[in-house]
Amino acid sequence: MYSQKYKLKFLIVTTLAFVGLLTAVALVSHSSQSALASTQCGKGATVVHTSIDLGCRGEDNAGSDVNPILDMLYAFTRFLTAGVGIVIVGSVVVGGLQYTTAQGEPQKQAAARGRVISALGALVLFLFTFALLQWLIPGGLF
Amino acid sequence: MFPTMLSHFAEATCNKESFFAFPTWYKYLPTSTDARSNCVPVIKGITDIWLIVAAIVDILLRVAALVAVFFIVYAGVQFIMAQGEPDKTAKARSTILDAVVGLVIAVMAAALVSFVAGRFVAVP
Repeated sequence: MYSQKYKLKFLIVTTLAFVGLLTAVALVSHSSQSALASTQCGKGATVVHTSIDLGCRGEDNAGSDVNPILDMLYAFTRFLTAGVGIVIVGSVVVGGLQYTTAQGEPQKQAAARGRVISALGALVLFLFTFALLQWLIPGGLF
Repeated sequence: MFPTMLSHFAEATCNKESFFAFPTWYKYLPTSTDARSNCVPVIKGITDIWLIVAAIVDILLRVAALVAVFFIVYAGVQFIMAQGEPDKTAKARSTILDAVVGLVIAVMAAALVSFVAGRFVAVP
């Protein structure tokens, strides 16, 4: 439907926006580091200090110590899980906007409907993945 | 006089709903004031990104509502200008219908976003 060029442009803009947001967060957090809750990943001899709070806990939910890489992976998974709901709602809202501007053209209606249905499908996929991970990881993700 | 005005302006920037009935991007972030009483949003960790995204989705919702109102008015004008021609009235009718359906989709997601963001704010 959209040209390849448009897709590439969208990808680049989104990536730049995300990197910019990350940089802003890193800078702001760095300037007020005393207020941070936890800026280290892992525990004991292999502890890694970070400039921003990644959400590391130093242990998994079963209570045993983890190495920094695993700690960061846990933190990253928690970070993404926290955002799933918001991103899906945003996608549905954009789909609604598309439907609003469709003006009765079947093509645009189909595009909007596809976006909403994809978002809801993503929610279902996430729920099943979440259930699988919760069952697989000792102590659970949360 | 001028510094007083300036400080009033600074206080106004802390208003989280100020810009043309749109919420600000730091709506869900905690704020503090610096030495010159400017409003400073506090970002503590990487998960605070989602609070910013939630605020952006909130702004998108207001945009969706405004666009829907615009399209309904636009289709109403089309309806008036149609002069009973079946093609044009059908076009105007489907435009209104699509605008309303799109608004309903966005508003149903709106009920979700405040719930999700509110729950996320409650959990530190």
